[in-house]
Amino acid sequence: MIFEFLNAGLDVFLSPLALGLTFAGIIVGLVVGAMPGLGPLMGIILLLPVAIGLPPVPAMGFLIAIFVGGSCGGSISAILLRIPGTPLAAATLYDGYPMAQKGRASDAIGIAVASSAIGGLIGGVVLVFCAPILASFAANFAPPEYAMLAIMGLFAIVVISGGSIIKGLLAGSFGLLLATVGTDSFSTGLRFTFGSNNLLNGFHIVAVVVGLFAISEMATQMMKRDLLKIPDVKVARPGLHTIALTLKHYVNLIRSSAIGTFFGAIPGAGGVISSFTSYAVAKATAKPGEDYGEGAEGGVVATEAANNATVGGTLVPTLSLGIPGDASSAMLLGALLILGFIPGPAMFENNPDVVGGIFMVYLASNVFLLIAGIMATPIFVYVLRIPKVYLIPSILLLCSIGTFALQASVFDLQVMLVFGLIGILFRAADYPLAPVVIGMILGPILEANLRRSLLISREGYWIFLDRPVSATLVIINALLLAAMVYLTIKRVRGAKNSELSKGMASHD
Amino acid sequence: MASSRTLNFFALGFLLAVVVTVFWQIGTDLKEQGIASGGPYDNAAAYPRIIAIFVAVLLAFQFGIEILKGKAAPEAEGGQLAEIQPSDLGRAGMILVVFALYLMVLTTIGYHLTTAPLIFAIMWICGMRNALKMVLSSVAIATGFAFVFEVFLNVVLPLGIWDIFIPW
Repeated sequence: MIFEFLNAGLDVFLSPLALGLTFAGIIVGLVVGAMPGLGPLMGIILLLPVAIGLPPVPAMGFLIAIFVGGSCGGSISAILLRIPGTPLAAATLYDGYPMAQKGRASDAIGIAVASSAIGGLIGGVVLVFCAPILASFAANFAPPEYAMLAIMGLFAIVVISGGSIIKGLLAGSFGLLLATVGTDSFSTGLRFTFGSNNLLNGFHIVAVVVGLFAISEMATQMMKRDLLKIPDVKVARPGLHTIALTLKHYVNLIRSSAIGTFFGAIPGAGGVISSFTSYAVAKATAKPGEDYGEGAEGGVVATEAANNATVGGTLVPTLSLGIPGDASSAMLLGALLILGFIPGPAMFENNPDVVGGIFMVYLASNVFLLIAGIMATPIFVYVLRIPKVYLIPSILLLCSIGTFALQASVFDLQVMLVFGLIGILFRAADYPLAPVVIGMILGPILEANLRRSLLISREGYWIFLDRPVSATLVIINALLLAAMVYLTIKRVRGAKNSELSKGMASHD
Repeated sequence: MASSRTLNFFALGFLLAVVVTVFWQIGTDLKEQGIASGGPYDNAAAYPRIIAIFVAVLLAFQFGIEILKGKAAPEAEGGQLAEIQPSDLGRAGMILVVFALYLMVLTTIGYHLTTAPLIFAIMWICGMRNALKMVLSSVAIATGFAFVFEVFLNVVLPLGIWDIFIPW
């Protein structure tokens, strides 16, 4: 069954367009990953308007490669500048930067790239084997199971991703409400359109996401005072010998990749948790001579293998169940929906060539990462020297043309600007933005399956408890809800106690 | 950007306005269309109503938390926001204003006449003052993007009322 998918996808994958765009995606991913403030999510968002005009497999190859390259690119700035390009590379600082200070910057980057590629390939093997099995299991799912899965995806992301639970839920619910704007697919009535024809199909997800993330990020960057500064970065040229250096840590590599894949498959956990966890495990099991925190190669191997393996893991629930593991995979899911494919068991049944093509582009993107990462690192280092005064207008322009190109609509640009302002408000008030996107993507799935469940039910909402899998998911959702209540109470009490002790100390 | 009580109340106010809008629309527009009641097929208001009620409950909790936090630590007002100077906020505000103006005139004047001035203005807001460098960079960036999108991706950028385009 597994090889059937790979075989079916081989033809569409072996086209110059798919191969070329996958390679281009790796380059773009490494560039956006290396630039502090951007990262794989922003890369996917910025290039999504370009991708959705392409055939499905080249388009997904381009976006998945940005995800893969971006997950690794953050290590370049972490090692050279002591600024992680993305939060994913935060743990790489511990040993990557000390390695650079000891004159081993090229080795550190080479090890980071090789570990990322090998970790990604291990995650890819898990993806290729597990996604079809999970999709085959989910083939028996009916609307009640899908409705509960959608709720589970949203709850899991809010619980695990940290921050205020209530703010996470509010952001997710805001996304769910945004998804209701437009023509109702059941009654064909118009909801929240305010008489505007532009809103008949609702808000275009790309316009919303570009506004929320990219516009608000550019406004945030404008508040910094290093807009004209040219970062002082020395050119590093990693060689092929760094692959051998990486393979010397094969136990660490396999273990960290397994941790990364596992956390990737859990909605909400993501690369940051997996890279810190694998770093902690690697440090705990280190041999006496390995000085973690002072430039140990194993530290870079652990964090980079884990955060790239996460990508393979996160694609498992995204492709087989239609439940995104994080905001980046939510955007990939959104791209598939725009391209006309509904991720889940039906896609495995009806479009094996697309599924197989996605598997192939994912595996190939990790091979390309190894090639591009080792050969072209000096280019990415030069990119790090570009001052923000040139980057900010370029990114704003890319946002504008990309969003305009979706439907040749200025209304989409206005939507983008409005959601940019909402994004700024949410960032300023510490509301997470990822749940908004995930809510917006899961919203139509949740509503459609909720209403279908009630249509086929003779006992109303009891249908969710009548079916064993659905009942299990209801219990999991109830447990997640209980965890949310517990964590919120704990946080409020903790804050209150610390304020009390502060108050008592000031009285003393 | 850091959190502060005022900003939290702004965000709560915004979400409250969303909830009020949902109920107002259900009570008026959706009711007039006959899709605010009935079974799961016809009732297009049930699902947004459930979500809006859920949001309202969460808002009440968050409001309570903010009040409690405010009583416990009134000095926390401002927090890390105090580190941001008015000039920093001014730059962010100006870029948004300039960008909004750009969007307003884009369809009328067209991409090629509006984009280079937009980039020039952003560079100026960023603090760059070398006019020649700014002019050359803004024209190069605007033309470069137009070339990629028009030639490789077949996007027709806004031509404006004078139908200005570059015959690549």
